[in-house]
Amino acid sequence: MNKESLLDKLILQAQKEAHPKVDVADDVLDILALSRQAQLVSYRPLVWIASVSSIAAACIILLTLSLNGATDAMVEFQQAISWVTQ
Amino acid sequence: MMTICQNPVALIDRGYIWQLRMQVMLSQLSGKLVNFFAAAKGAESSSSTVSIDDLRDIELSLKGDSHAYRRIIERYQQHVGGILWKFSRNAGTHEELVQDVFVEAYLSLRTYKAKAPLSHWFARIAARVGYHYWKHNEHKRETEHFSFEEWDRLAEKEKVEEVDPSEAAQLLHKLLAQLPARDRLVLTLRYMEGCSVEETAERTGWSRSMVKVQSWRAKGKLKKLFLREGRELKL
Repeated sequence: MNKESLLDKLILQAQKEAHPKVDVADDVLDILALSRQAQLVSYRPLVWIASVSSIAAACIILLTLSLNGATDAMVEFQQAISWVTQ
Repeated sequence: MMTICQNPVALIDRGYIWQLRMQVMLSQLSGKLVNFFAAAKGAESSSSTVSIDDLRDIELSLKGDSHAYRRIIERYQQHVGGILWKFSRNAGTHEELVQDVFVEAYLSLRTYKAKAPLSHWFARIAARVGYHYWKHNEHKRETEHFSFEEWDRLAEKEKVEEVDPSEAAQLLHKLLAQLPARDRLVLTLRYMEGCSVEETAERTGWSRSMVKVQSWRAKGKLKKLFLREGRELKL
């Protein structure tokens, strides 16, 4: 018997093998549910950082606007009393 | 009832859901037409079409229905298990690999375009998962010791057909384990799984010429392996 036929025959025999039955439905759904929870937990700090950042940004905008307003008033006042300095 | 409705996959655009719905409707319509012509010709409908049940369950799974995804798993887990048994013959690892396939499939369910049956898509993911498992454990290859004495013992048997299928599969698994992961993948798909060049190309994502070249190289390495032991292997 040559090796070629042995390999072919072994492959044919191996293809007849029945693989062990698997039942992974519960495990897969558990893993997916857990990954969802883990994702929520990992999102939480990001949500906090985003909230704090947006509040800080709003504060900066308000401060800039009010500072601009105050500067304008100061300029007007300075012009009004400029004759004194002259 | 366990729910996975808040999974990122559930956060999909409505356009995709409508696309799937249209496919279900078209599939139903074409199914009726196929049945009509099949009845007229007395032939059975083709098995290469996408199942309506699969399309429905995919749509429901994308909306977060865990029962729908359970039905998909239950339909395909033995098919995936059969493929992955050629990648790992350890029962525990085998089950983990099957799980990995279904988790990975769920996370990329939106990319399934329903152009080929779902079984083909799972087979492709299974080949990828199995290949990555081999790549990850490539340094442990020497632990899968292939015995040439065992090979000779089988060669002396008058009827190889009487060899236990598990024994034959185990020996071939050990033999292919002596090769690098890429060579092992192509030979496993081509010979153990009985895939054609086209099917191998589809499962691996390689071109057809790449499959042929890789297969030729892998067979060459296998021959060298036998030559080193003073034996000849004709392929």
